[in-house]
Amino acid sequence: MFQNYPCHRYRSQTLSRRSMLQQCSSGFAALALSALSLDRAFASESTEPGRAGHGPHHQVRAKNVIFLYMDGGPSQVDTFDPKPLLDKYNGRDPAEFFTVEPTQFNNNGKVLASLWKFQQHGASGLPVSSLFPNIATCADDLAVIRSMTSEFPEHTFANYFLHTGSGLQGRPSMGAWVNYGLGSECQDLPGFVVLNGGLIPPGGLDCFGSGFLPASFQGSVFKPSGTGVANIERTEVNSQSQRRKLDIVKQLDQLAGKEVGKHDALESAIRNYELAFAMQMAVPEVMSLTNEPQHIKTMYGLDAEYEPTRIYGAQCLIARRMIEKGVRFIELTCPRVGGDRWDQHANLKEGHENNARAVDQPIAALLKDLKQRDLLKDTLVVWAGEFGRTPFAQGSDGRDHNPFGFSVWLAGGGVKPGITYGATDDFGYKAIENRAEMHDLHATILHLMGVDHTRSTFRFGGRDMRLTDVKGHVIHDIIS
Amino acid sequence: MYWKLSKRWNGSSFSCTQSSGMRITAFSEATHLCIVLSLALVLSALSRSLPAQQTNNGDGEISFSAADIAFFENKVRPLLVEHCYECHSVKSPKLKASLRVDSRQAMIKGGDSGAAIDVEHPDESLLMQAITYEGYEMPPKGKLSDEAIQTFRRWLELGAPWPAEAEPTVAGSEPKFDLQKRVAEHWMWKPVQNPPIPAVQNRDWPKSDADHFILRELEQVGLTPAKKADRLAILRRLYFDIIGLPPTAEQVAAFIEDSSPQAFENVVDQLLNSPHFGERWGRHWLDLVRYAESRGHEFDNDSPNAYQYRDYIIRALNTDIPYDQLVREHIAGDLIQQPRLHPDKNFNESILGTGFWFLGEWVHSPVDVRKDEADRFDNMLDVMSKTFLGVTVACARCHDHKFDAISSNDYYALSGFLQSSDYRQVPFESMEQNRLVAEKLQLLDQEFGNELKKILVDVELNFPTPQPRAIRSDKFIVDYSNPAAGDFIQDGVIFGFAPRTQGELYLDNNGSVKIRPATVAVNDSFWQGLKAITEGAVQNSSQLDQLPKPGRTLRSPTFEVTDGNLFCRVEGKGHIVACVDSHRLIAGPLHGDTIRGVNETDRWIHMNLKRYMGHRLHLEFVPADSATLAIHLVAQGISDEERRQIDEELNRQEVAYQVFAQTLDSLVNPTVERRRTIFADFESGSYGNWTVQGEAFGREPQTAQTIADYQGDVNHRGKFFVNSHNIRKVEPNKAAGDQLIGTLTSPEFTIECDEIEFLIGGGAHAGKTCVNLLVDGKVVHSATGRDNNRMNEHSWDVKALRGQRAKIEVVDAFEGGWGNIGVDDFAFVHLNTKPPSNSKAQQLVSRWNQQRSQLKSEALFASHTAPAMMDGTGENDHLLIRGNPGKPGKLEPRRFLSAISGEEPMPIPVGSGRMQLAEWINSPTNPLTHRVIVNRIWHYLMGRGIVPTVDDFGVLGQRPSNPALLDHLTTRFLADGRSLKKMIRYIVLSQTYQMSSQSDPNAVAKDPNNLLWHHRPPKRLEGEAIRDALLTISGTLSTKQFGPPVPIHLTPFMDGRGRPGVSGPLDGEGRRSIYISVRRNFISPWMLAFDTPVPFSTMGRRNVSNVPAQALILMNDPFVLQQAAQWRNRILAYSSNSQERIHYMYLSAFARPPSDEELAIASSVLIDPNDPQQWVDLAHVLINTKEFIFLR
Repeated sequence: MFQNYPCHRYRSQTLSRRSMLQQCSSGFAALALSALSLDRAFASESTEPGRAGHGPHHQVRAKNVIFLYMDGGPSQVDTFDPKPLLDKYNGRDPAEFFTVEPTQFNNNGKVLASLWKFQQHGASGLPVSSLFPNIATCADDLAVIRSMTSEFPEHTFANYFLHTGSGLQGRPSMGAWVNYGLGSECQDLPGFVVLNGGLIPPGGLDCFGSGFLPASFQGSVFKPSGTGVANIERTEVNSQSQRRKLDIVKQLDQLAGKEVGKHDALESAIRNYELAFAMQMAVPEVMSLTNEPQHIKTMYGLDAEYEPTRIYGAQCLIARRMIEKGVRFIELTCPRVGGDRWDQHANLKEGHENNARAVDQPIAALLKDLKQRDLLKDTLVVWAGEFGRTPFAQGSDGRDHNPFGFSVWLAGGGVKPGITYGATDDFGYKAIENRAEMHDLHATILHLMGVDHTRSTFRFGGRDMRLTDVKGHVIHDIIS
Repeated sequence: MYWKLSKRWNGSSFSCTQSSGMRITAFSEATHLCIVLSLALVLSALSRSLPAQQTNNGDGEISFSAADIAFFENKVRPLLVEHCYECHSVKSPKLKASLRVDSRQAMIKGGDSGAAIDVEHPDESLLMQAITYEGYEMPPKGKLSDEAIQTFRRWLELGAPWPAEAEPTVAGSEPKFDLQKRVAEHWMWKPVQNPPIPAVQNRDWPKSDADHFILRELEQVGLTPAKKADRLAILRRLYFDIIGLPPTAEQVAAFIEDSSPQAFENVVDQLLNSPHFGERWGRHWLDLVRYAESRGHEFDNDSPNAYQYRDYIIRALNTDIPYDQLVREHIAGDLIQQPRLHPDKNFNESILGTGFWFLGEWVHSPVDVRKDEADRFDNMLDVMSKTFLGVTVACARCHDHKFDAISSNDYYALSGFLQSSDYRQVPFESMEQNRLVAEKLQLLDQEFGNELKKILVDVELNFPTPQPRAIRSDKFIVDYSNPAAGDFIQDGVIFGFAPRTQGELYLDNNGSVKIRPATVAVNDSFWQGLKAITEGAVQNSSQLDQLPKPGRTLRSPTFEVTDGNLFCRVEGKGHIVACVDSHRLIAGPLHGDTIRGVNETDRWIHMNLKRYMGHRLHLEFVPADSATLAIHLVAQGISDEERRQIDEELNRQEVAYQVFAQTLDSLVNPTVERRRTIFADFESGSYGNWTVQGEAFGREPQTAQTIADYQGDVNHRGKFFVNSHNIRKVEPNKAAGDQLIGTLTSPEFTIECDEIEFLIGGGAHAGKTCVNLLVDGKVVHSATGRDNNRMNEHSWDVKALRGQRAKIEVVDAFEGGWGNIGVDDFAFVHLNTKPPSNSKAQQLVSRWNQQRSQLKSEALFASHTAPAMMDGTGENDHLLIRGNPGKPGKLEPRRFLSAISGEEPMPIPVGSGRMQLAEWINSPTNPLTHRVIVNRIWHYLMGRGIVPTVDDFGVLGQRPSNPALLDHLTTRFLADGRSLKKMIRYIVLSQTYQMSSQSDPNAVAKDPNNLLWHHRPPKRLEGEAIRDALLTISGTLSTKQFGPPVPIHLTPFMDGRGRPGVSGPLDGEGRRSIYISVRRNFISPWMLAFDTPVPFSTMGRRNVSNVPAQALILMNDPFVLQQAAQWRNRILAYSSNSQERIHYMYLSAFARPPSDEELAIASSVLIDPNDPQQWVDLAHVLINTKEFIFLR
C-alpha cells in the first residue's frame, strides 16, 4: 500500500492531503499523517525531510509484531540459559567467583542453582527448562539471544528502556514508532494495541505512549474481555439511531463548513467519525472468540484449569485475530498470578511456576497457530522481560534484578529458527559474548520490519529522535 | 624470541619507580601463559629496572626495532582493526569517547577519559583496564580472549611499538566545535533590533504596527489578506484564546447588541481582567514546566502540594506581574530580598515560583543515586532552558551541542546552580511573618538576658570563664561551636540565626531560666507547635515526607563521603537525614539508612554511609515535634578515642556551669513539687471496681507472663497492667491480638488534682484505641499509643476541671492492625509551686516570659507548604565525561551560557548564585528570553509561532518566518514593561488576528502553508477547552478557583501500580480542567486523546492529532452524555418554544444564531419535541459537530 520511497527526503508541503493519503495508506495512521501535515506548525517544519510514514526502507521480513512482554524480569538461568556451574557451586558465596554489582534490594545471598531441569529440544537441540514444556516443543522456531543487557536495574527505568529505548518517561513506545514509520494496514482497528492481561508494568501506561509523537500513535489498551477498550460501546439504543444521529452531525458539519472554507483538518475530523463508527463494529468482532473452533480454543488454553492461563490464552488468540486484520504492533502484558509477576525477589519456585503456567501453553499455541496459517513468516514474535535475574539468591529463595545479561527470544518474521546467539559467563550473570544492548534489539526489530532505525526519526527538542537514540546495531546473526 | 628484543622507551621522564619484583609477582599470576611466554615477560619486565634507552631518529620520533614492529603488525594491529576501529578510528561513523586507537600518538593523547596507554605502567593503562573489563568493558560485544589480552599487555611492555607513519586522516571527520563561529552564524544569538515599521500599499488595512509587518510580506508576493472574520467568529476566538471558555448565550446576545466602535476592545479588556485568564494561560504555562502532581516511576508517589505552584502561576498571570519578575521568581524566588506578597493573605508568592524546578519525575530507590541526580538535573536544565531561553541546553550533557553554540562546559556551568540548591517543602504562608518574629525574638532574648545578667552580677553571682572548644580536627564536617562562615544553613527560623553561645541565658519550654554550657546549634522551644499543612495527598511512601521538616530543619554544609562512618554529637530528640546526591524519595529497599532517629538518651549518632563513598551529601537535622534537638558537631571517620575526648570536653563544660546553674535555678526559677497518689495500678490482680465491657480486656489485668512474648518489654510498673492484645481463645480465624474490642471504665471520682498521669502504649488510632477522660459523659481529654506496645508516660493538665465529677475509660474499638491498647498506673498529681528567692530577677523573668508569649501570638504556627528551592552550599559541578556520572572531569565554574555572557565565571559572593543567573536571563541584551516569550504568545493566539518550533530557536529548530515582526514584538514587549497581557491585547486587536478562515485559493496556491498569514485557519480546541466548554454550556461549570486537585475519574481501563485509591466524580465536580489532578501514571485518557502532553519536558507546542478515539469520546463517553443531559435540562427550563430553545443552543455552543437551514435540520431530530430524551439527542448531535471543537 505504501509507495516505497527510496529515501526519506521528500517534502511534505508539496503533497496535498489527498495525495498524502493516497501515497501513504489509509486507515488510522494515514489519518494521523494527515493530521500531522495539517498542523500548520508541523507542516512547515517538514521543510526538513518529512519522515512520518516514510514507509519501508528495505525488504520487509515482518509485517507485524507480537510482543510478549514478560513483566518483572524472568530469570535467564531458569528458562533459556542453562548454567551447570550453578549446580556445582550452589550455596557458595558468589564473591568467591565474581564481583557482585549493587542490586535493587542489596540483600544478596548465595549462589543459587536453577530449580528446574534443562533439556534439549527439537532438531536444533535448543535447551529449554522444564518451566516451559509447551514452548519447548517450538524450540526449533526460536532464536534465543542469551546476551541481552539493559542499562537499568530498576523496573520502571528498565520498562521504559525496553519499550521506548530511553529510561525516562515520555518517549514513544516501540509500537508507536513502528506505526509512525510504516502506518497501519488496518482500516478499523488501531495500529498499536496493548492486550492487557491485568498487569500494567511499573511506569504505567507511558510504556505504551506516543511520547512526543502525535496521540494517533498511542497504544490502545484493550482488556481481553468485554468491549476491550473504552468508549467503544455506543450509547444509542441501536446502530440505526446512532447512524441517524451521525448523519445529522454530518449535514450540520457540511453546512457550517461552507462558512469556514475548505480545511483539511476539518475534513479529516469529519472522516474520523466514519472510522470511529466502523471501529465500534470491528473491535467487538475481533475480540469475540465465539466463532473460533473448539480445538483452537483448547489449544490456546481457554478451557485450562488455571485462570491466568485462560486469560493469557484469550490474549494470544485475540492477538492472532488482530494479526489477521493487519494490526501492526500488538503487545501482550501478563495476567495476575497472585504473586508479583515475574519479579521473584522471594519464593522463586512458586512465582516462576505460576507465571510460566499462565503463558506457556498459550504462547506455544500462538506460535503453532501462526505457523499453520502461514502467518509466522510475516509475524515477528518477541518474548522479553525488562531484565533478568541474579544467579545468586536474594535472601534465600529469591533472585534480584540483573540487567547485565539475560535471555530474550524472537520467532518468525525473518528470524533464524532454532538458534542461540551470544552468551553469558559461566554463572549466567553477565553477557560476555556478542553482548546485545536494548538498542540492538530495537534496531533488529525495526530492521526486520523493513525500517532502517537510523533513518526513522522525529524532530523534537532540538534533536532528530530515534527509537534507538544514537545507538543500536542490527543483530544480523539472528536474521535468516 | 621476544626476550632478545632491544627496548626503547618512549619519553625521557621515564624512571623506574616500582620494583621489578612487584611486576614479576604481578605477572606470575597470569595463569594461561606458556612457560616461554612467561619467561619472556619476566625478562622484559626485569629489563625495566635497567636505565631506559631511547633512540631518537632526529625528528623527535621514536623508532622501534623491526621485530617489535613486526610483532605489532602481525599481532596487535589486526586486533585493533578487528575489535576497536569500528568506534575508535578516523573511519568510525561515530567516534566513541573521542578516542582513536589508529595511531600511537592518538592513543597516548587519549580520549575523554585520558590517555589510553601508559607504557610505563602497562597494567594501569586504560586500554588494559578496558579489555580486562575492569572499569570499562571493551570491546562491548564481548571480552577478548585471554591470548589477545596478553598480546596487548606484551605490546605495552614493549613500549607500544608502532611504525612511523602519517597520522590517519579522513575527509569529513567531526568538525571542530567553534562556539564563536556558531554564534556568528545563527540568527537567535543576534541582538534584538527595533525594525522600522514597513510601508504598505493598502494603508487602510493595518490597525496596528504588527499588521504592517504581515501586510508588507503579503504585498511583496502579490497577495492580499483574507477579509475580516465575522464579528461572532472573532468573539468566540477571543473567549477561547483569552480565557479558554466559550461566551455564554447571554454574553453573545449582549455583544450582538453592542454596536459601539469599542465593542471588541471592551470584550478584550473584560476578558483579560477575568479570573479565568490565568486558568487558560496557566494551563499553557504548565505545559512548559511538565506540571504533574505525582512522581511517576514505579509507584506514582505524590509530588506533595504541587498544586500550590499551579495556583501560583494562575495568580501571577492574572496579576500580570512583569515577565522579568516571573522569571526571577522561577529561578530564584527564594532569594528575593523583598518577596512579592499575596495582596490579601500576605504570604510569600515569590518563593512559589521556584517550585517549577521540582515538578519532574522522581525515582524511589535508585541503585545509582549519582546517576539519578544527573538525570534529574538534566531534566531541570532542559525545562529551564527550553522554557525561558528556547534552547536545548540538555543536548550538551554528553558532548558539545551538535548544532548550537552551547558547549558541554555551559551545561555543567549551569548544573552547578542546581548542585548548590536544595528541594524543600516551604511553609510559604508563615515564613515571612515568622522571620520578623524571629528577629524580634532574638532582640528580646538578648535584652532580657543582658538585664538578667546584670541583676545576677549585682548579687555577686560569678559567671564561669568561657571555655571554647579546644579540640579541632580536620575530620569535622561542621563544628557548630565555631562554624565557618556560611555553614549555618537553615530552612526556617527555629534554630535562630546562629548557634546559641556558651554562657547564654535562655528560657526553656517551662519558662525557666537556663544557662548554656556550650555553644551549640539548637532549636528554640518558642517555636513548638509549628504545623505544616499538606493537602490533596493521594499516596506517598516517602519516609522523608513523614518527618516534621518544613521550616524546622538545620542543614549541614555539603561534603564528600571520604569515610563511610559519620558521627553526629547530639542531644535531644528528632531525626537526622543524610541527603545523598539530592536524592529525596526515600521509599524502598535502598537508602533507608540515610534516615536516623535520635532519642533523648543518644549522644553520638553513627551513620554507616559506606555505600556512598565518593558521593556528595549534606545532613539535615529535624527536631521531633515539641522537642529540641541540639547538634554539637558532625565528623567523618573519627575514632572512639577522639569521640571520648570530645565527650570529656563537653562534660568539662557542663561541669563548669553546673554550680552556677544550680544557684541560678534557686535565684530565678520557681520550683515545683510533685505529689503523686495512685488512683489505679491494678496490682490487686483484678479490675476491682472498674467496669469491663466486651472481650478485649479479658477478665483481669495482665502480667508480663500472660501477654504474648513478641510484645516485648511493655515498660509496665509492678506486676499487673492492662493490655488488650493478650492472646486468648476466640473463634477460629480471628486475629485475637487486634480484633477483639471492649471498654474498661473507672468508677466516678471528683477531680481535685492538677494533673492525671498514666502509662499508655498500643495502637495510635485516635478515638479507637485510646484512654479518655469523661466529664458529664463527654470526652475532655484523650490519648492514644504510638503503634508501639511499649508504654510511655502521658499526663493531662486538669487544673481547669477541678471540682468536676469524672471517669476514665480505656477503649479498644479497633479491629485491624494495632487494634490494641495497654495502660498502667493512673495517678493524681498535685503540684506545689515555690517562688524563687530573688524577687527582682523573678519579676524580670516573668516579664521575659510574658513578652515571649506575647510575641508568640504574632507568629504563625500553621502554614500550607509548597515545593520550593533553597540555597545550599555554593558549589561548582564537575563536568561529566560523556555525561557519565561515573567519570567526573574538571570543575566547571558557575555561569550563564558562554555565547551570551562569555566564559568568565560569574562572581557569586555567597550561596548558589541563582539570583545572578536570573538577572542574566532577564537582561534586555539577552537575545533569547524576550523573543521566546513573545513568540509563545503569538503561537498560542495565532496557532503557530513566528518561530514555529517555540521551544527550540536553535539550528535544528525553524527560522522565524517574519524576523522583523518577531523583533518588533520583542522591542514593544520590553518597552511595555514586559506585560504579557498588553502583548496579548496588542495581538488580538490586530487585523492579522481577526482575519477570516476563508482562504483565497490563489494565496493557498502560492503559500500553501500559510507562512505569510494570509488567512486564519480553524484551530482545534485543546482537550481542556473542550471539556470546560461542555461544562459551560450545560451550566454546571464551577467557578471555584484553586486548591487541592480534584481526584481524576478512574475508568476500569486505568490500571497499574500507584492507582489512586479514590476515583473522582465523573464531572470532576464541575471544576475547570486545570484543577483536575494530574497523576503522571494515570493521565486522563480524554486529555491524552486530545494531545495534552505527557508531563516529561517542556511542550510549548502541542501536537494536534486527529484520531478516532476523539470521535469515540464525543460519541460515547459517559461524561459527554451526562453533560448533554444537563444541557437538555437547562434548555427545557429556558423556554417552552422549540425554535427558541435551538436558537439558545446555538448561541451557547457556537456563539452564533442558527441559519434557517440549520434550524430545520436541528428540528428534524425532534420527532417529538415533548420527549425530553430527544433534546438530549439534539444536544449530543451539536456537541459532535466539528464547530464545537474548532474555532472558525
